[in-house]
Amino acid sequence: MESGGAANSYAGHLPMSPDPLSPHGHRRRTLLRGLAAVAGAASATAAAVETEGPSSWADALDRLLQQHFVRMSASEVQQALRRIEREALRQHRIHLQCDATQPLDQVRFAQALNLAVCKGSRRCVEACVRENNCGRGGALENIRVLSLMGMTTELEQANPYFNPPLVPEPGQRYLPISCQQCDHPPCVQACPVTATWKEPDGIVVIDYDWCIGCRYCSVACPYGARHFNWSQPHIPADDYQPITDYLGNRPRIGGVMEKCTFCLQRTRKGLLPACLEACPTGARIFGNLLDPSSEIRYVLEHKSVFRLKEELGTSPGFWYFTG
Amino acid sequence: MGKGLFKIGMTGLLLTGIPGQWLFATPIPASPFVVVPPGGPDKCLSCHGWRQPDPTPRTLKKPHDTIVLTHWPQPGPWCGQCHDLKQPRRLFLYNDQSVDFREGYRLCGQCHGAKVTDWMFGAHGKRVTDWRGPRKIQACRVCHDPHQPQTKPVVPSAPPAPPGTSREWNPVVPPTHTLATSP
Repeated sequence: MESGGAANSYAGHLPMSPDPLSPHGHRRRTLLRGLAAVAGAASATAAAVETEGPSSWADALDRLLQQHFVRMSASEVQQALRRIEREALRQHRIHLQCDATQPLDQVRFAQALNLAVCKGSRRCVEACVRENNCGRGGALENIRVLSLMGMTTELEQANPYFNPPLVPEPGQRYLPISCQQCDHPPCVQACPVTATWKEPDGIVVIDYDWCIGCRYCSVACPYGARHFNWSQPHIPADDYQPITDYLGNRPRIGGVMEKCTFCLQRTRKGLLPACLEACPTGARIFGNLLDPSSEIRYVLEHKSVFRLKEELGTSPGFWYFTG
Repeated sequence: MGKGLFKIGMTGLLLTGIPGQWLFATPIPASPFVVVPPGGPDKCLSCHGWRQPDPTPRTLKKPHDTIVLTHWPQPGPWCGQCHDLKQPRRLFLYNDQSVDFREGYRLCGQCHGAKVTDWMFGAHGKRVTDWRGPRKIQACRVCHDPHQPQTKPVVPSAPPAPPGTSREWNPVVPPTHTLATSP
């Protein structure tokens, strides 16, 4: 990868902790990257027939030496995206399109969920797994639907493994939980390498290539919304979502964290998140908090809303209401 | 002393409080919306496009035996109370105004006004396609069968696998692949 060029417009969005890379470290990375490029060019003729560009080991080295997403130049971002597409073709035999969609101006995403309407069908979970290219084993799902008996609000007594023949069951209420997109996210503060940060549009994202898999964020999150890929996610090739985003649903490797990103590969293009599209009862409401005429603003202004574990000071961007 | 304060408080509440909110509040108009009807063929018009319906109250037989009216306490109204029997795909409001099926929410709103207001503003019902721009919201009858409006139980998708285990991927809904292409 070449260095320099136009600065990535993400630069400056990262809530900056001390830069883990010194100027000397940057020069060393640039040198190593140059060597990798030479090695890649030398092995280009021996590269696999079905993929164009550098060979697999050159791509792997490139990924290892890649900069943090926020500090990448525009050309480096493009090279990383093409590398991801090559790796997907090489490893999973799928033709992906990987983008790095920018946050929209004057947009602050938020979601609300009507607990009176949710019937616990878990269609949102199914759609989320598909849209975000999560592993299909059921071990990693970004949405967890809790079943609560009666009027209790004790989340410790909730059952996420409910599996009756039909839902809703009499006397049960259902509470779907995913990333709450907090304004003061403890997961971001806990990350020792700044691999996760909050975007200007309110979405907390992860640079999967920068994540070291320490799982500190998972421990810090009070909502259990961060999940660890204990192994390479298994996805049938014919069930891949081919439109992907660098910070969103691109293929992950084993040993990195992942979480709900409000389907940023969709929402930053104006579409609704997959969970909203799949919900058979319309329990979820999504929109721009900065737009006074949006549905989410109507809900916040006219309904009795609450947020989970507000007393922790996380200030979630996800509201619940009934009625 | 206590009684006097109570009177002053109640007078103030009546003058400025509840009636004040009701009289002088200016409701925000709902942003324009397009109502998305349920998909599928138009079953009514296949017969009633050319044949006048029988207005006589009776026990319904095929093909109407699937219509079970549980919406009202039995014995409930007959078809003609809501349907305009002279014009297919039109409904009667209580003021004898006839409206198209696309405006069916006006019929619902005669009793469920608060819910329909929520639906107009986006707190109830389902918006489709995109979160910005012109609003497309599903009609009431997409989720609620007007004759049996309570939503029916469904088979839930598979639960998550307990820690350390995995399960087969057996989705209830077939893949649709609504791609994240720019509208």
